[in-house]
Amino acid sequence: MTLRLPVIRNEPIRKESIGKNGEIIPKANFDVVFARIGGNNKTSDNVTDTTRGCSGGCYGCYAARSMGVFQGRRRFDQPESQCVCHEMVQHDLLEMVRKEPFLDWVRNGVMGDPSLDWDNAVRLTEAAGRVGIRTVIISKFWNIPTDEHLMRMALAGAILHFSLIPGYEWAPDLKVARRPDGNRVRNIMSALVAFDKMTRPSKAKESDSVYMRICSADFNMDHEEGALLGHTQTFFKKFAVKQGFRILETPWKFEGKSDPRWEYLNHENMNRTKSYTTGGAGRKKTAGPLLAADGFDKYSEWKPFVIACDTTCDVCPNQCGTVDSENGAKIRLMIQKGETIGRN
Amino acid sequence: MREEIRKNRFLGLDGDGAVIQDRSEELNNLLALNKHMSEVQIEFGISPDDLNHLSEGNALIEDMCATKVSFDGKNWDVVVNEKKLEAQGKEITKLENKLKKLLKKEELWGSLDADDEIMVIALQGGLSNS
Repeated sequence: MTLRLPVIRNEPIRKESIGKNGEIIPKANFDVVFARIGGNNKTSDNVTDTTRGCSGGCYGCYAARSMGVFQGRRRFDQPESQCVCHEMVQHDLLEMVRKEPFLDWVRNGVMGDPSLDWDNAVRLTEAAGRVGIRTVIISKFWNIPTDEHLMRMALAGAILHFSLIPGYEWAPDLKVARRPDGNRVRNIMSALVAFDKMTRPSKAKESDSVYMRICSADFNMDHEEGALLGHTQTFFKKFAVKQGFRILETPWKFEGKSDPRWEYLNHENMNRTKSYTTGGAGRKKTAGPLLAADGFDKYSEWKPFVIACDTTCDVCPNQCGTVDSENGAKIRLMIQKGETIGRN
Repeated sequence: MREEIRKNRFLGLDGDGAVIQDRSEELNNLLALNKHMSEVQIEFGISPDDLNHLSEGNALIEDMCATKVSFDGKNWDVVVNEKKLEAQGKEITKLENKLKKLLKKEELWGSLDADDEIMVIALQGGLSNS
């Protein structure tokens, strides 16, 4: 069945910026330099990018709107592969472990999408794997990794996070326009299932190397096109449950009518977000976590099948990119033992 | 087996959550992990041959590109950022010097602690695919 699917507007391409006196200033591409392991004000020193920038163009992308891109006057839409030097990556990771002995992983995919150059992402994963550090690759899979890429990443202990945004991806039973392949998600799903088969410990009920990140929203199921978005969200939730891929839900935060998905939402269930800085009502609106059937305590649980990115980083039990310098070691140890963190 | 070695490799904390000071065991586990990875790569016919190594020195900088936005008094333009490219060369030198320093330390003291020993092996390219 071919349906008329809405075309979700992309993030505007910003080739220029405006100076203090209103003058037009061109933007430069990202530099092609050594990929180093570092941190930012929300994370420990365990994040990196093998590709900086992204041509995907998802509306509302945090990286495209970040201060580094804005103040650095960089073209985010022009991805640039970084130079991955094995010894340099391993040096940075060994320093990371020396500083924070409880860290055993590095995130690739903060200011760009690693899938735009899988060769490069695999190089970094192997360098990290050989010093016993697992690489978490967060990607929208704009390109599909080859079988060899998957094998090399599996061997090096990579963890793949597929980030799904309904509207940019559609459930595979929905045909997309005139694309001969119908819908690219079939290929992504095949790659994820293949990687899971390569990596899942025998008899384990859930995958330990494939995760599904779903940017969720409460879609209006009475709206013809909203229902298709909702169907896509539900399809991927069911797919993840069936395959045993744990879900990391990112409740989408909408700015307002300017967002291209605004007309497809169920507005009755949306509230203001909590401000990261003041703790009061924020500027954006969200429906909050929707995908955990029985709910969970977002301040204390990391074991449920679905967890949600819905608190400030300092109180989140998952500590996915942020480590509390005082309690980090304690939390890491509790995670390794499978214990539950009590709310402070 | 791989996961077992990896788990054993990570000996950052003891059962009480204290940081383990003596990490000599870690070095052995890391070397076992590398041996295992290389063997499996050979078994599956994987031969990564396009890797960048520190030993290539400034040749690594040749393919790099750094730019910035600059005002020449009349217009804004995107120009080459020579300083940033120079800084990349210095990063290589910094690591080469670090390696020399550690080797000298080893020569003076006769041995290194596990952390330093792992660092020396890594900087010498000993924990690499090739």
